[in-house]
Amino acid sequence: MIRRVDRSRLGLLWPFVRPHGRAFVGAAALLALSFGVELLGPWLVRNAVDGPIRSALDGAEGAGRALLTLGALYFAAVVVGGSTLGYAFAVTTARAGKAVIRDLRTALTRRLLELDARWHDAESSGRSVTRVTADVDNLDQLLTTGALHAVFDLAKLVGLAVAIGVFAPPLLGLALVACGAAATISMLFRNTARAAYGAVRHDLAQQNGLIAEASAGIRTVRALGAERAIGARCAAANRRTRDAWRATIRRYATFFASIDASLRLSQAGMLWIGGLAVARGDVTTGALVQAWLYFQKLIGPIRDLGERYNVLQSALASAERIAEVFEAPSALADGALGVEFRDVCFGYRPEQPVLQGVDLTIPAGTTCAVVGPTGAGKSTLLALLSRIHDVDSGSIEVGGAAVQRLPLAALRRRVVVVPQEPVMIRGTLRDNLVAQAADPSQVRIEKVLDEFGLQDLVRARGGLDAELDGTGAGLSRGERQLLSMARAAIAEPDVLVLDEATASLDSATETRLARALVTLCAGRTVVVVAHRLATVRTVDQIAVLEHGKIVERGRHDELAASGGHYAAMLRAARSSEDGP
Amino acid sequence: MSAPAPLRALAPLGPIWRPFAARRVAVGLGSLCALLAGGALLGLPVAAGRALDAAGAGDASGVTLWVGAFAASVAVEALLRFAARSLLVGASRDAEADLKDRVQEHLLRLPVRWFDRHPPGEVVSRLTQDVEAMRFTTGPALLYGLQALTILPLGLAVLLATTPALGAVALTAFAGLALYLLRLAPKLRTESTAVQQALGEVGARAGEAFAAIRFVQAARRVEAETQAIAAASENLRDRSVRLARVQARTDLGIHATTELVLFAGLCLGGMAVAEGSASPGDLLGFYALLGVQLAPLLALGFVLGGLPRALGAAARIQEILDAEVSAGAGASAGPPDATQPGSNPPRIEVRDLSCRLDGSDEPALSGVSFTVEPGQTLGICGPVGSGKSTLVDLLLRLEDPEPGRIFVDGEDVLTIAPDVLRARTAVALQDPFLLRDTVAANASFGGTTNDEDVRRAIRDAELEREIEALEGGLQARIGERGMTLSGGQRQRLALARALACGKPFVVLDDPLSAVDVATERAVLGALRTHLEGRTAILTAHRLSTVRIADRILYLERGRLLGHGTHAELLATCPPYAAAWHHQQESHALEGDG
Repeated sequence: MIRRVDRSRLGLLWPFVRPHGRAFVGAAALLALSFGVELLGPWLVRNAVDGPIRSALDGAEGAGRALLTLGALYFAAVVVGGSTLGYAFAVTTARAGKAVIRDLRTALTRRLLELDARWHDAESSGRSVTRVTADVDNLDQLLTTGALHAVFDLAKLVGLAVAIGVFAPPLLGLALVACGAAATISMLFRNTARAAYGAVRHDLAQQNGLIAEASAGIRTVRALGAERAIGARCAAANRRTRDAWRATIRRYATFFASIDASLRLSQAGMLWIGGLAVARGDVTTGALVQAWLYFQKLIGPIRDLGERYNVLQSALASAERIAEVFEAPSALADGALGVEFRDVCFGYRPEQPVLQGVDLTIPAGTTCAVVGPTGAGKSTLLALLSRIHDVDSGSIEVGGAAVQRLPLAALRRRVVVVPQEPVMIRGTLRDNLVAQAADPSQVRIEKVLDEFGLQDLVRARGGLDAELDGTGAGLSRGERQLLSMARAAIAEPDVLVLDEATASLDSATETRLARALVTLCAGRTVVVVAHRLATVRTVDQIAVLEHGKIVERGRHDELAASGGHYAAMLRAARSSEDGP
Repeated sequence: MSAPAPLRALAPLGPIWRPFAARRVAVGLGSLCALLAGGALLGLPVAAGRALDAAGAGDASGVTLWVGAFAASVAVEALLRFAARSLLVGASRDAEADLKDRVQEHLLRLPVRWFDRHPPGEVVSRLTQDVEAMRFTTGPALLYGLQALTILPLGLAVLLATTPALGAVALTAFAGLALYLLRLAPKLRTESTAVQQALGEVGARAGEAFAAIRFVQAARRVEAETQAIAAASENLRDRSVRLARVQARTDLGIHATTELVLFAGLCLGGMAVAEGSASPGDLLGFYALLGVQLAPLLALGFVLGGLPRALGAAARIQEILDAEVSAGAGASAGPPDATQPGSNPPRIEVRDLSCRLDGSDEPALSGVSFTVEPGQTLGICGPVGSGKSTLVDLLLRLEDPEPGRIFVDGEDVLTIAPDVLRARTAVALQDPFLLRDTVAANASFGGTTNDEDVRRAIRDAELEREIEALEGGLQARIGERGMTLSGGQRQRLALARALACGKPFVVLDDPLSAVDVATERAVLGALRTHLEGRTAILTAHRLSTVRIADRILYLERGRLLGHGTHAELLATCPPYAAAWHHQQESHALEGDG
């Protein structure tokens, strides 16, 4: 169960901690001050024992006054000062730490919601929730209780050991041995306890999984009459969990007994060596009392060492799970998306390749017209982009993500196709207009109808909710095309895939269509299989496709002047009075 | 937390205490060890003080003697506490397992509607967290409580005997601390509950958003959902800071009291030593006594603080144990392992069936009548909330209908023993129930042991290739490392289970809702063959699924709007025809045909 984790993962906290840097520095200063106070207390006791108390025993006057002075100092510094510092530290770290955690939680949620839906398919929503709740909480633990305290505990261990060394040198060696022994027990226990507890968690998860499945599937269980069979499985899982628990009990009992015993036996050793030194007169009574009090203060941090280490370990594991989310590929960003074809090959039959290594980059927000002779593979290229078919080799990326890796629903929402022949479906005008949209508002629909000059048509047909006769038999070809474009506009695509109609219409309708096209394409990435000269003149990029390959690329003016394939097509078109 | 509640108030803990107390030897011996350990611990400060005095007097052998006594106390205390912990905690785990067994067994017999009100997550949390909170009042509470009960009064007695003034101050200070902590306890509990609730709220909101991720992204609600969760996180931060404040006040009280007593020790103890009425060793003994007394004091507070939570948990567990079991549950003597040989496809008749769900104004079904002849397949369709699932619940007798409404081979379903009915019935319901077991075990769970049947069913459910691709094939275990099935695969495996057992009555409740149209078409072909010679009920949201049925019912809001073949319904039932055309066209737009 032990996982190696990369410690640098905790670095993900840094951007969230930085805005609260001052508060954390302040907290560290409070902690340092309170440590000073902790050292001060036993030192005052020692001075009382070796000073006024000793002199009173020796018969001197004025001991009471000196004792009270030390007492007053103790009260002011340790009782009042120490308590206040402790409280201030706790509140400061909580305020800053919880704000950091809130920001992390929000950023993590946003990130999760932006992730490709397939990522969510691969893991249950429960696991994502765990990341947002339990995993973030583990970092909270580290931040508000673990991290500073762990650093502080270590500083305390060193500081107190030094203090014992200064005030009662003979006891330093013993204190170090005691710390070493207790720390060793603590860490050894951590390993065995973790293995045992890991088994408990595993068995408990199995048992809970079984209960959850049986609860969710209670209808099937009941309909199959399988209560007894499932009950037997649950009972067996329950026994396994109990046995796993029982296995941990002895380990825990051994740990608690042995760690306390080892610390207390060290105290006994200190008392022995120190007592003999006092008896010989090498160390004063006060110094021994002071060392004893320092040692008592060490017990907590040493006992907690294993616990702190566990907090750190779970925080590291959680940081790993959180980092996974931040590093996962995101779903498509909002807004126009760039399109990239890389060495795309495709054939409907293996022996007849249609596309043979198409490379084409269409930056976000630009329009690219694909032109070329019939059978060059233009429509196929569009079909691959919206995944009507999948490439044989090479890749197509939309917004930096390979189309095969995007959920089909997401892709078809962002990449909308306007087919050459408009398709009308049986139903109302509204049914037809919203067919490609997720859940468009009435406002959106009205706006598009205005933009496309379709309000008159809607009125003439008896409103949005009037049934069309059949599949729109009464609509003219131009009207169908306008509706088809309006349908795409209502869907608010980020990439528009247009297969321009070849049949020519009367010039008034052509003008309306051309205007509608401009509206539709504005701000979007557009790939258009173009048949009209008017269309290709203004586009950002023309790609000439011949025999499944891009043979030329550039703007209309450049290509017309270059004397290549496109110029030849233009000449041929002019002579036949047809589009390129 | 006011004064210790009378024992009567603890009665709800009976379900955990009875099995705990039944471990008489472990509990008795463990309690004795805990009491004695508390006494042994008291030897430490006494021995330490005497050792220091011996040292002050220059008596080296006296030092060694008292240090030896100190070490002996340490060893005895460690052994006693080891024994106490092993025995008491061990017995508490056994009691926990007993209670869980009881709850689990009862749970599986509760009516299906109970589970509609209590989602799986809640059931699991009751069974784990609530039972754990109850367990804490047994072994662990005794372990800490008994230790505290010996060491606290004994320690104070020692103190009062040596330095009475200091003893009085310490007693007052700790009594004050106890009152302070008891006063804070309810606040601590309220705040920590509030933090749990706020965290739960974050989890719930996030869970909803993640589960509906496609909608959230499609409707461009990422920012809106993020803001909603950010607001919940802000609330959580607010509650956490409040909790941290209360905790800081708790710590403040403990720290200030301890230091105050140490301060009193320094002044009063120092005075006593200076006057000669006490020794420096007494002073050290006093400090050492505080060192060993603080932990049991806090543990006692911990035990008392856990009680209200445990009582709340006990009430929730009792609610499960008191819930009435379903009449049709758990009647069968064992797993459904054998089909009744030679049993014929039943004739199902439903007469004027109505049903109203709890807490709903509108009936889920009203006046539905139909007949399914032996060997026929009946399709049931209709929009969400049409009553399809309620009808299935009643036909499977997951719910009891009124008498004289549903007849199987002419006999009222209420008069047939549930296990007789169930031995004839194969099901695949909406939420596919799969076990964490092998694919083969899941497919045969419906009641077959014949490998060939299982293989054929897997093939007919169009799962063969996908199963072969798994490591271990049919023996691959579901739900373990990397072995997860998609929603559609789970459904088809549940369907394979229904097909494999060969029972004469088959109920399929929207069995292919998560399957794509192309796969559905392939499965339906095989399904039609499978259902020949069996009576079958097939519900679906997708009309292309029910089209394979001999006759189709169209339901809307619990009413039967159409009944006939597909062609008849197209002609006579406008809502059916409209739904059919709508679905056909949306499939066409999906590019799925």
